[in-house]
Amino acid sequence: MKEINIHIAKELEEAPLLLGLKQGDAQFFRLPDGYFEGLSARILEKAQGNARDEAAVFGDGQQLSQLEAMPMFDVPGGYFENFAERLQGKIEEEEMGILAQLKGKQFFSVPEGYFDRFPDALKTKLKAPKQVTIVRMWSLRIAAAVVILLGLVGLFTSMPSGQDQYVYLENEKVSEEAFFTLVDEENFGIDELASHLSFEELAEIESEIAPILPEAGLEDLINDLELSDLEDLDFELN
Amino acid sequence: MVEEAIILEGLKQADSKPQAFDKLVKSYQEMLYYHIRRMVVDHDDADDVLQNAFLKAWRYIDRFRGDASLKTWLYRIATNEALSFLESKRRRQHQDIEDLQNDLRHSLGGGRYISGDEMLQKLHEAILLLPEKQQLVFNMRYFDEMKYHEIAGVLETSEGGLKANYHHAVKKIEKYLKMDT
Repeated sequence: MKEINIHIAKELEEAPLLLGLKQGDAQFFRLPDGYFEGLSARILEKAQGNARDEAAVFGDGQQLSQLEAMPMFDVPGGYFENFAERLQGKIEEEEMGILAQLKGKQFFSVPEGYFDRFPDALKTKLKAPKQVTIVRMWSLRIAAAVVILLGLVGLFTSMPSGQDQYVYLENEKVSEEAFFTLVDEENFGIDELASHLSFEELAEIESEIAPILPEAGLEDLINDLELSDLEDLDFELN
Repeated sequence: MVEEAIILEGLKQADSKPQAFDKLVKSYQEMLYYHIRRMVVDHDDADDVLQNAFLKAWRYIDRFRGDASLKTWLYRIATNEALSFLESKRRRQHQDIEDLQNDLRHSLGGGRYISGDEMLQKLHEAILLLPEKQQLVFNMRYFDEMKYHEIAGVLETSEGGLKANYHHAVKKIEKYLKMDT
């Protein structure tokens, strides 16, 4: 006989009738004889029977359990990739108001056929790559050397006021304005530049300037200088 | 990306380098042109800067390590080239930054190869009034629809700050566009 849990018995003290029924072990429900024997085998058999029925309805290999694993709704390929970014774009667009209306409109235009001609125009510039490279490399050295030479040796002379001002270096003339614009623009400090070059290097540069000048033109060389080139100046001169 | 890989492969070989470079120019010329043009405004200036940018790309392609995409690298060159150009122009004309901005905005009104649409003109005026970084971020995001990580690659900065830059730029531009409308 099953023993009554002491706590449960205590709870039922105020309901003696219920307690009596419990104590009397009244088993209202009955089971067929040997019900629990072979129960697991019967369940297994039933499961196999269900599988056969599903196969009959959905075809071979299409089990309900498999169908459950399949999503009911599909999404376009790559839908969830960059989803957050697309969402952010949408939010930005909504925030933009007037800007959203202007999106995609082009304010600037180009001459007709510009982009068709551009690669060829570029090729023309690239056709003499060595010359360009030499000129640009030398332009740095020449500019540096000329500024230093002018500063240190005092090679330049100015024309009387009222006339155009030129700086003379051998047979080449360069507008004084161009020179001092360069010096000012690039923050060329003569002392600083001089500190990069030895007198031997200056002499070497001077001897190399002469053959290049007639071809390249000193003013062009100087005008050709760009800020970004000057970033390389330390590297070139060190 | 596949196209970019093909171009890069071609640029590594001496015999295929010119053809690969031609392909590179044709692939990127338009987007880089407009990126530059929005900054320098004048067509001839944009043409010069664009040519210089590609010449630099040709000259330094061997130094391209592939850490960023080719597009990012080219944008970086073009951006630096345009900024150098503007800086050089400003110094040559002995202007301060405000003068230069005024000049650029003024040329929007009477320049060649410009659509003449008033609202668009106002939009570009507003952009040119922005601080340099906000201007760049806004242009690359709004016009070129670049992702923040790409813009960060171009400007060599962190992504977080760029979003704030963009947000501020949008607010300022909107405010400007709403004035007198």
